[in-house]
Amino acid sequence: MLRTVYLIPLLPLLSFVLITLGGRRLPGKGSFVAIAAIGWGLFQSLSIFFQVLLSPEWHPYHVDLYDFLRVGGGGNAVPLVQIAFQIDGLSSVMLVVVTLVSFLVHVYSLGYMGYGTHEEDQRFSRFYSNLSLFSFSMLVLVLADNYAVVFMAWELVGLCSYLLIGHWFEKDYPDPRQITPRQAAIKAFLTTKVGDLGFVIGLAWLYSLCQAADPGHVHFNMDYVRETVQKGLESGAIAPWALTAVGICIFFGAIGKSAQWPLHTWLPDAMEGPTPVSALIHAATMVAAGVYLVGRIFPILTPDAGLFIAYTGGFTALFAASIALAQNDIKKVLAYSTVSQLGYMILSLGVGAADPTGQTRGYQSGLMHLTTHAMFKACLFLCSGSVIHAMHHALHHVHSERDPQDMRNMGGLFSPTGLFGFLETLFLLPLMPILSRFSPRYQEAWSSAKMPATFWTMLVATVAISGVPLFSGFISKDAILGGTLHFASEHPEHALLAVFGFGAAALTAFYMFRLIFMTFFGAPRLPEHAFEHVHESPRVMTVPLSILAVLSFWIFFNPDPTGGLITHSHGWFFEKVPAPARAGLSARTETAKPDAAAAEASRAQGLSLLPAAQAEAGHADAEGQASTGPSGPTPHGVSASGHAEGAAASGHASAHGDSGHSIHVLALVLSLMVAFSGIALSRSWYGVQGGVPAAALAQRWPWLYDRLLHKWYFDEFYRAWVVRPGLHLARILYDFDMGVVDLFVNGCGAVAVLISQFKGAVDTYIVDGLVDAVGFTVKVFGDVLRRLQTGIVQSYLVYITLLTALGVILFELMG
Amino acid sequence: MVTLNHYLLLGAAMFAIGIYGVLTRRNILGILISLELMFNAAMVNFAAFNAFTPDGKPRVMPFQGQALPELHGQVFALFIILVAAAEAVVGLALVLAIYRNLKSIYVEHLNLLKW
Amino acid sequence: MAGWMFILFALLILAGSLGVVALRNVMHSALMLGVALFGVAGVFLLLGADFLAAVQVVVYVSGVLILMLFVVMLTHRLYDRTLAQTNERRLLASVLCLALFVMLGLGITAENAASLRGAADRGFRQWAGIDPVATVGRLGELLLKPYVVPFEVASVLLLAALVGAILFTKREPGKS
Repeated sequence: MLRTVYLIPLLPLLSFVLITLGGRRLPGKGSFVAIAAIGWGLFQSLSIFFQVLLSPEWHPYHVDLYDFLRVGGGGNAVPLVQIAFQIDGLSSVMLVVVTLVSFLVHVYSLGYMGYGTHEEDQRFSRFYSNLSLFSFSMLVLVLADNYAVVFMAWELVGLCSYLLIGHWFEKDYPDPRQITPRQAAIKAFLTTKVGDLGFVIGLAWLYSLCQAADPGHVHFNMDYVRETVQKGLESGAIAPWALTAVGICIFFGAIGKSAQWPLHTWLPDAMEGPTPVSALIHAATMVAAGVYLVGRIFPILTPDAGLFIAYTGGFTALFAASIALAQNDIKKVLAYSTVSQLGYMILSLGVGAADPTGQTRGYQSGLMHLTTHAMFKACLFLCSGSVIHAMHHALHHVHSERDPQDMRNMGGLFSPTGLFGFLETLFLLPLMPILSRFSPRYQEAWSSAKMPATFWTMLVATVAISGVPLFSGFISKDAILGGTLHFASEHPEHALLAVFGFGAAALTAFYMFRLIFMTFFGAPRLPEHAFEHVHESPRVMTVPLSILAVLSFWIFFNPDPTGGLITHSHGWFFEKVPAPARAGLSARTETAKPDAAAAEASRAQGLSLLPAAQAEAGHADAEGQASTGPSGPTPHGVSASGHAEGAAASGHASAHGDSGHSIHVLALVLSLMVAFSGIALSRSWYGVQGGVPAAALAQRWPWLYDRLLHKWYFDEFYRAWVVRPGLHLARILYDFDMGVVDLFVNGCGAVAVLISQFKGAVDTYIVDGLVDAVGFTVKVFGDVLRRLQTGIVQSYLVYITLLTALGVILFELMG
Repeated sequence: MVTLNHYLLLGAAMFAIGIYGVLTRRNILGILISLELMFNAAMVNFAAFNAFTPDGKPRVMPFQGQALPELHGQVFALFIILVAAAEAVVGLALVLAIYRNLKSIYVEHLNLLKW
Repeated sequence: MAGWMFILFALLILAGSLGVVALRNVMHSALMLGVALFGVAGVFLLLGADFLAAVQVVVYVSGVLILMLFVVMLTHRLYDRTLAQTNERRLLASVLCLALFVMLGLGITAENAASLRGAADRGFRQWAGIDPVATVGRLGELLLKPYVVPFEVASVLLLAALVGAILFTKREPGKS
């Protein structure tokens, strides 16, 4: 299985080629081929994953496939790009994530694209071919052992994203301001290219740095780069600031791909693509590639670069969550939620990189959130696809032009009667089938449920993303918040990061339940006759939903639902995906050592800090101010750390655990508080009062509401300051091109035409004239001489005689 | 006194008359007959030149010692007769063949190779 | 005496020749050819070529001429008498022939050539003084000794002419 790991990406590539060439003649119009290819990938990935999971100590496994782009001369030529795969803990997990979500999306798309029905998509085969290409690219991306190969796959997934967003490229909307799929595709492609530019610059810079550290033997394999950077930093060949800049440059690629502020605008518009694509590419896998990339460059990140990353991610998390509050399009809400969650992961990785001690475990938390998020966000998107599918079907039935994605048109999709309270639903969910047998009220509600499977799966995923205990999201998000809080407690000047984290968590819970309430509860806002046509989606769609929903439970990630408080185990993920050795830390060689020691000492002091922090937290208000709580006591810790150096040495190990533990408990309590307060507020506003308080709030602060509704006017800002100047510049260049360059080109052309005409005239009148003259002469002589050829022998004899007579005359005259 | 010139002029006249016949006759037989006239003109010339061999010395044949006039011209005349006979035979056979195919022996009708 | 004989034969030849080309009837033309051939035979006698004269009479008059008469009679048609026997080139041809004759005559009688011929004439006078001798033996020697190769070639030519004549006149099997 390990040896043939290349089969995992290769089969989707073959499937892509086959479907592209053979398309509609393949089984299932190509879809079965694609599903089989990715199904095998899932199987092999799972087997590799369990092999990694069950082995006590796993060493990364490397497969060299092909050497590409040899650089350097003579015998020591080194392949710059070694197409090599590696299987370490992270890539084995990512393999499963990618193949699992991809497989489920493949299956789900059969239903969504209406395979075999009269509503089948007109480019069904093409859709599957693009999905296969995407699977191939994404799998290469997660398997690659080489930054250059990562970059190639990176661009390939960008291409697939472009192709799939623009799948319905012929679509046009009556409202010219609404973005069309083809515009969205171009926007996504160009916006991510801005980030990719930074990526390329970063790679080139990294190459030159490596060359400075290790002249003549440079390639891009990850282990090698890490070792070289380490060597370079220790020998002084690499300046720390340059490495920081490299890290930030490469992170620009992640900003683009993971839709971080300020390049986040493309992702919500990418929702113009088919919903399965949104689930696969723009929620679970491709946008997470940016996070994955940060994870892969983690070894060479310097703490300064980590701070930059953390602030970008944290700000994006809060910023995107604020926008999601006011969106009405169900997919837009989810899109901004994705941006926000990606911000979380970036925040976590950034914090992990900024913290030289590794105590925050930002690396593992961020990537674990990537994994859990992939499950429940894919589930959410697929559920929304199911809802949209049903809405579309219903609206289509009554020939309504209303937007099937607008939540203001939904409502009551689960419980139209209103008999069914939310809390009842939430808490009695497992008992519902049993209760419905005994209580006529429950039975009525049960039997009248419109889309039960979609609702339940979506509810599970929403609960997971909101950070409710017993679900996967809680574990990973809690780990992130704990790490961030830990970091903030040690560096109070960065307390803002914790504010970002907890604020975004509160907002996430709020808007996600707003989505649930607006979609599934309350009175139906569809016309009565249309509402009758709302049906649950086919099984081919609901089964993938159920699988993803089940995977959103805590048990698959850590048997301890608190994420380590009870069992003191952080789960398999933290074991199998250990934080890599960090070359970037060598930047602080001599001076850093005391700092690190001081930091560890301060953590030893953390034990004494905990009660104070908890006390402060207890005083603080529930949400916003809670995060500022720990910032209060930390100055104590830092000032005390100097005195505690001696004591630190003895109680090192236990102090570590206790310190992390106490902060963790604090973070757990805080995140529970923000999550449940968000849910409670959402229920009160949307579940009970039908959105009236929100409307009142919007009227009271129209300025704020307007900003939120219009996404802080970022699109308008870009249009005014980037797109329009760009177009102007393009126009100017176009005019220059037309006016000056074309003039010159046309002038050359005109001169050439003149010369050609002259040459043509010469040819026609002189050369052809000569040729014609020859022919004409021959013709004239022929005409004359033809008359001599009478065929009468005697006339020839006359000539002979004449000539003889003339000869005789001549002879006489001469002689 | 009949000199060589008289014979030569006689031959020339015969030749000219023969050519006239060849050029003007429409009948192939007429042409053939006129051709014979031209042959005879040539024969007359050969015989005359043979008779009026210059320098007057009779050639003494080495093998006989007998004074005999040289007769090379007459030998050529003999050959001409021979060739004329052969020509007449082949020509007349052709005339018969043409007549059989075209039912005509007029040269204007033999224009199959005309342009 | 010899002068008168020459005039007689020359007139005979010229009259025959003109008859050949001038008479409408091909049969008459052929007969006039016979007259001319007899004249030529007479000229041969005057020139001392007795064997040649005999051959002229035997081969030409009684061989070739008879053959021609046969062919004339084989191909003769009634309308031959009404058709023009000469073509429209008459005038051109007569002028041409006259010019040719004049030119030849001028060449023959030219001053420089005449001196040579004067010598020839003297030689003829000396030669003519010799008693006429039979030329047959001498001709035979010539033909079979220095001219034996042309003689044999001539025989092959005759054979070829014979075969060709048979081939030409033979009726093709498919045609009746």
